Amino acid sequence: MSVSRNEILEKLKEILVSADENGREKLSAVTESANLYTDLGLGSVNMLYMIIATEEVFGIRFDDVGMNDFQTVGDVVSYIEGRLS
Amino acid sequence: MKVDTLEIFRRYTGEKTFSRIKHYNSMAQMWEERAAEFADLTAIVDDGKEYTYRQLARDVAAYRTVLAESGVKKGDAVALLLPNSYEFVKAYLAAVTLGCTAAILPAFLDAAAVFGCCMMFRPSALVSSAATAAQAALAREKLPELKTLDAAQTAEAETPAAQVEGKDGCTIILTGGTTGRPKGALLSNTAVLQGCVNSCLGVPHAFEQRYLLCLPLSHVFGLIRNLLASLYSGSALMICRNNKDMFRDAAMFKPTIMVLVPALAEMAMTLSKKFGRNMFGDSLKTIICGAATVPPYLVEEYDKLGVALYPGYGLTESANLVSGNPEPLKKPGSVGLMFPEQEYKIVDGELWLKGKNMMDGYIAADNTEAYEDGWFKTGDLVRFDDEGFLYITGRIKEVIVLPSGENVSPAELEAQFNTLNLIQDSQVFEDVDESGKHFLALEVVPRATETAKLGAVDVSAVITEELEKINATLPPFARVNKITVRTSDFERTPAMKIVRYKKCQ
Repeated sequence: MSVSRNEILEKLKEILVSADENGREKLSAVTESANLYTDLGLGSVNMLYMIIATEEVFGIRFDDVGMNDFQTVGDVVSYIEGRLS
Repeated sequence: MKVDTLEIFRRYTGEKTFSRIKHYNSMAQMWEERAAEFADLTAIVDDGKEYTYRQLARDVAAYRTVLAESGVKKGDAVALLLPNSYEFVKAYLAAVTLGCTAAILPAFLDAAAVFGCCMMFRPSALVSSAATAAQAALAREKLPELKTLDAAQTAEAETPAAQVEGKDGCTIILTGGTTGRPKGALLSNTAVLQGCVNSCLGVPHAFEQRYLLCLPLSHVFGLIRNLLASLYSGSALMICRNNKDMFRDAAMFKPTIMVLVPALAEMAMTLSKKFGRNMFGDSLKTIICGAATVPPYLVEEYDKLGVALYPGYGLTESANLVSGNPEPLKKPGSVGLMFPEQEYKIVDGELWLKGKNMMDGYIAADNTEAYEDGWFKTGDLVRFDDEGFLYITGRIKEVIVLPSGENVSPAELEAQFNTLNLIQDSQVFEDVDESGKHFLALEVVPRATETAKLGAVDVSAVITEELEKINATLPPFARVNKITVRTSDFERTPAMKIVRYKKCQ
């Protein structure tokens, strides 16, 4: 079953919200161009949370990639898309 | 009031565990005895391989040969530039049991910083690995007398451990505190071993446990309370090479005890709630939590999962542990009782320490400000309750001196605001407006699990209103003038501590 890029983005937003419920409004409106650090203000623990939760939700592994390899939400979506294909 | 804590810790530790706590003269002696005692037990699990104490002892003895054949001798400093790995454990034990002082360089340091550390600590050898070889290159090039070794090297012959005294140097740990420039804290064999002894106090099941290592071994909490406590107690330690795999590793390894900073413990709790299961698995019974303020609610949340979370307090300069809380459910806001052999006193609210766990001073740094009359000045403002439980109320270096001359401890104010369940973390700092007027400001990070219960209301407005009520109860000079409700976490150090604002410097 293929998952569209938009569906991945929506699930990723849910994960980001669950890590930071206070940012629900801001995170729900997030686009792929949003920078994880400067726009979303994610710290190292939030990034760790996002990766672990994403692995659980999508059933994938973030192998051979470091947290610093992701700059934007779109980078993460692309990585997930690549792992699912 | 000083409380004799030996009997209290003895009671909480339990006679069976307490009787196994031994005092050794040196790391060499401790390692030789414990390796023999636990020879057939698993010591380390790393990168898919399992090593018994016997296997590790052989590899350590062989690496002593590598060091000795390169010209390293007793009394030298040996710099280790290695990520968390079996090679780290092997090289560290080889160095200290050869009578050397292991200078531990964080594996994330760049080449210039590694060179700087080598200039500061003057090691005779630098041990790196394939993962860190590039960072060692500058030091290798600029310091021709420096022996550069690879942790993967080995030798056929085994070299026996050296005769080492308790007062001999054992470990140098890089520390900067929150404000100072980086320097090395020199810990003797006696100090490091006291850290091992203290790690068993107040923990009923301290021996033959299963530890999952998620903290950097370049940090005193990871090195002493995690790795060395594990080896001292005949436990198995699985090295989590990437923290994103910590729950996958936990599912496989089934740890019984973990040493965590609060931010990681809190993240694991949030994930456990999201996915409806204890992410660390049901084997986990104990979490030792420290290196930053432990939110009291975490103690209760983990208790619901059947996990005892023990807050503690320690410093790099004190070989980690100074106090531990054997009664976290009763006093979750306390970092516990002072360990029995810790000498201490409070001077103008600041905790001063002496004792055999204390460092022998900073290397290549001015020590005059750190000590007074032989006491190490921690910089931490503390109080004890009637039963001798310790509470950290602030940091002297973080004390804000207001234009009025009044001193304000941000930590004390933050503790007041943190009593609000809606708050996860807060920071009080001195800010300055356009006219140059200095004022106190507060920023808070809301606690998502609590704000979610509020429903569709203006969360920021609700929190601000509640904070203003607390603010109104404070002495006028200590009231904050500006409240900001953040939508993201504070910036944090690699040890997960909040990077404090310095807006007025």
